[in-house]
Amino acid sequence: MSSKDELSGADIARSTRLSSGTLYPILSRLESAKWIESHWENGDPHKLGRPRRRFYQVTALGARNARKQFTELQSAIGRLAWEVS
Amino acid sequence: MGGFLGSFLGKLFADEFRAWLPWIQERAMQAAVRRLRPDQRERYNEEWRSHLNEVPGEIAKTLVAIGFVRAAMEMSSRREYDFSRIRALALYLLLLPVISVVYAVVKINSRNRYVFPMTTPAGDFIVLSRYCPLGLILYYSLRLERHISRLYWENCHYSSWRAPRLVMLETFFMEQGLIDLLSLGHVVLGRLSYQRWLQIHLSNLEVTEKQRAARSSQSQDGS
Repeated sequence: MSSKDELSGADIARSTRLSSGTLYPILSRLESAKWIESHWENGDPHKLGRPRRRFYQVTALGARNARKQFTELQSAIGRLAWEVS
Repeated sequence: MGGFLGSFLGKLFADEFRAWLPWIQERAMQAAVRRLRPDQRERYNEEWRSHLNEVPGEIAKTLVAIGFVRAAMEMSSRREYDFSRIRALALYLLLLPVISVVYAVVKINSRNRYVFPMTTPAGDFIVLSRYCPLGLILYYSLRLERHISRLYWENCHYSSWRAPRLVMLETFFMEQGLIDLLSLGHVVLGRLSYQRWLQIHLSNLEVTEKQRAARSSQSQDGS
């Protein structure tokens, strides 16, 4: 999920292959930490004929922190690979 | 014959199983939403139903619905929820004398039940509530009775006869938003979240403020 993507919980579950029981607590924690934000799909559920979807989007803070974590993880893996070799 | 009976029974059980799956999904969904904090319920009820709607196949839907129960168990922070209730209880006890007077006046006027308007994102409702034997402390039910405008509620409510002074007092309570204090008991009982109650209370105060402004402008036009 990039900072411009808007994905519903079902979309995220499909792409990450996480079960609903694992995914939603993670999303909830990320949202409380303001790493992601969410909003309802536009439209009236009666007119749509189905419940509205909730779209998630990565915030600037989330993108920054995710990059930082990824870099740290990469360097940790690099160190580990060097030590093993 | 045995093969025919086996395939017949197999198909029968498969059909039966498939017919029960939507029922299981609904029960799992309700159990999951019940486990969440009151302020989370409305959101996740709709969000998870839309998620379920996107999952193909009844068995997969059932597994996802059961997953929601697990998610809800992890997501409902009891500590925060209990803190919210304690805060509401403290406010309730602090305002108990006021709440008791408001309740007594409304109860005398409404005979065994009280009604008050509630503004929600879905619109304005009349909330009908009955009292339980503990009367001033606990309330039996909170029910969104009718989707109706506040103005209509006022006209409807005061069309019946009642003692003029009590009517004046009740009108004053309503205009000051004090009638909304009666629903604070529901927060203490965990039926309504503190945050939600505060939002409702403030939005009702805003409505009365607008009405008061409209009424004063009408009286100025009339004079």
